[in-house]
Amino acid sequence: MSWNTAKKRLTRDIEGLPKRLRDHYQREAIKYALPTFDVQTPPLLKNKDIKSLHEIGITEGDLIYITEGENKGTVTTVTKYLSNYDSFVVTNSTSKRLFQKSNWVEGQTSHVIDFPNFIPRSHVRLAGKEKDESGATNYLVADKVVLKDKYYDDRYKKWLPRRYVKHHETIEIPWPNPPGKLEEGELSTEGDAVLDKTYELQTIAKPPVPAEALAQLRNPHSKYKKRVLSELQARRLKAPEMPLSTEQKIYLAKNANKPKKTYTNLSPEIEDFIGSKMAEHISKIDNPAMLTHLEALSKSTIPDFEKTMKNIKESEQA
Amino acid sequence: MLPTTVFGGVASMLSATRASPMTIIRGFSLYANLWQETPRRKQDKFYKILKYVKPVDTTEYKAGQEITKGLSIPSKQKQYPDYAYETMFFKRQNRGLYGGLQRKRSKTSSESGNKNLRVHLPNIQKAKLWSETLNRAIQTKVLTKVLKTITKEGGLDNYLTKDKPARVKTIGLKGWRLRYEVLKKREFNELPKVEDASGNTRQVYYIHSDGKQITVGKNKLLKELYPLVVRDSYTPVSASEFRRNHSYLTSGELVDKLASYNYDFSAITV
Repeated sequence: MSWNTAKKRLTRDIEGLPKRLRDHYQREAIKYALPTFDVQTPPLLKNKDIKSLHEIGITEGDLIYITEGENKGTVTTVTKYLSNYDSFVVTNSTSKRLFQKSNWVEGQTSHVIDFPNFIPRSHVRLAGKEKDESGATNYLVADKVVLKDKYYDDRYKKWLPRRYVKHHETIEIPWPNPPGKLEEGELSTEGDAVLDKTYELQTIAKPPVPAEALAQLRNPHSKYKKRVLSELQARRLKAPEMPLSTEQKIYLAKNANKPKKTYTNLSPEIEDFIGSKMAEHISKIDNPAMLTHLEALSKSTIPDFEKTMKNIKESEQA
Repeated sequence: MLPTTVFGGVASMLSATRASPMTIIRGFSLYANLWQETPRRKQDKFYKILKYVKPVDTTEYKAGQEITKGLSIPSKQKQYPDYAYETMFFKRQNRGLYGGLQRKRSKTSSESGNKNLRVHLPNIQKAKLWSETLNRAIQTKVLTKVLKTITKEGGLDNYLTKDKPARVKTIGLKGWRLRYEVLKKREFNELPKVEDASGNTRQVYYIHSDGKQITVGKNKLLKELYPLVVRDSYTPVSASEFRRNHSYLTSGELVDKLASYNYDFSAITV
């Protein structure tokens, strides 16, 4: 077991505990917070659990029916979905909270403000509204919603699934109108103009962009451009040298005075002597395996030997 | 026939051609010692530091060279030489004089036999060590074992400046940096103090290759160079621009540069 594992073993991971204990530790954490100061946020979701509005089947502007809590049994409208808390902010559900001055927002004049309540998704059901022939308004609450088929919604300018009440899939609850109209920006293209073709490439022999304009179009600071070191950068990459100590200086001075070692080839007499000894001993070897082994060995190159031969050559030339 | 002569023959035969006798005889442990000319090399001491050191980039970078991918350029000039034995574990040993020692591990065992990991730290103490060369006390964490070594070596400076490979490995990053400071100071102390024409003694800061004894530091040299560079340029040169392009030059390069402008060195030389 490593030290890291040993340490990890002793830390408390709330995620792995049953819900009862998780709630207990949550409560313990906020035990001493004053209720009017505390914003009572639900636990944060993990990134992988965060879902978008259209994935959960309820979006801003939808009618919802609240099943639990203070506003139980009421039908209200969703003003915001807080994806990281998996909670809704709805109209007409606020409570008075105290805010210290350092946390005030712009335009705030009092310590006490109406703070929206966070209603968890599990306390919310999707509702639909319809008028019958007599003109009376009827509400319909879907316990669960099924998302099926895809169609292009012109109001949202994107592909959306259709919503049906589960087990009653003839009843469709359409998506509400988007809360605000998409604003046209300076660079946005109008819907009608999207498919207009204003330029067509006539030839591939001629570049479409004039050569003079390229420098303006390209990013001079692109990280994909080949860059070279400046003098300053090269100097910064170089660390200073460690000065030589007294002993090192003495050693180098001594070595400088020594004559350079010269390498000489073997004299012919020595070569003859070694040759005769070799012949004598090889003639005495009967074992063919040993002879083959020596033959193979003689062909292997040894770096030190090559180096010595090179040194001999150099000293002979000099 | 004795086996020694057989092997001796083969050995001399091959030493004359290409192989050393030891290459053949390595397998025969019985006779190995017979041809051993030099005593067997003592095993190098095991240092845990060598297991995992911070790699040092030894590439010689030059201006105009392409910047390779992943090369990070430091925002400031490097102050100290690169240390080849900077450890990547038990990093506090880079911040004090730890003499190459790390913590050890063992298991505690309860009466019922449950094992738990624990560590044994070396004997670390805070100390103020006097440096004779730097003429100041250096406050550092130091092992009692290293304190003993320092006493044996006869002072902190001797401990830091010893050249043995083992010392270089165990000195640690902090020790390496102190060593640089000590050696630099010693280099400076060797520079002469010379009497000028008016009878004042002046410290020589740098001796140029042509024998000029410069009595000012690098900053003063830059100050002398600035008006010359400004005068030489067709476009205005701001002080910051000048500093950016010249502050990295060494004293020698600055003297050469001044000489190229026919600068009169009489005021800053002895």
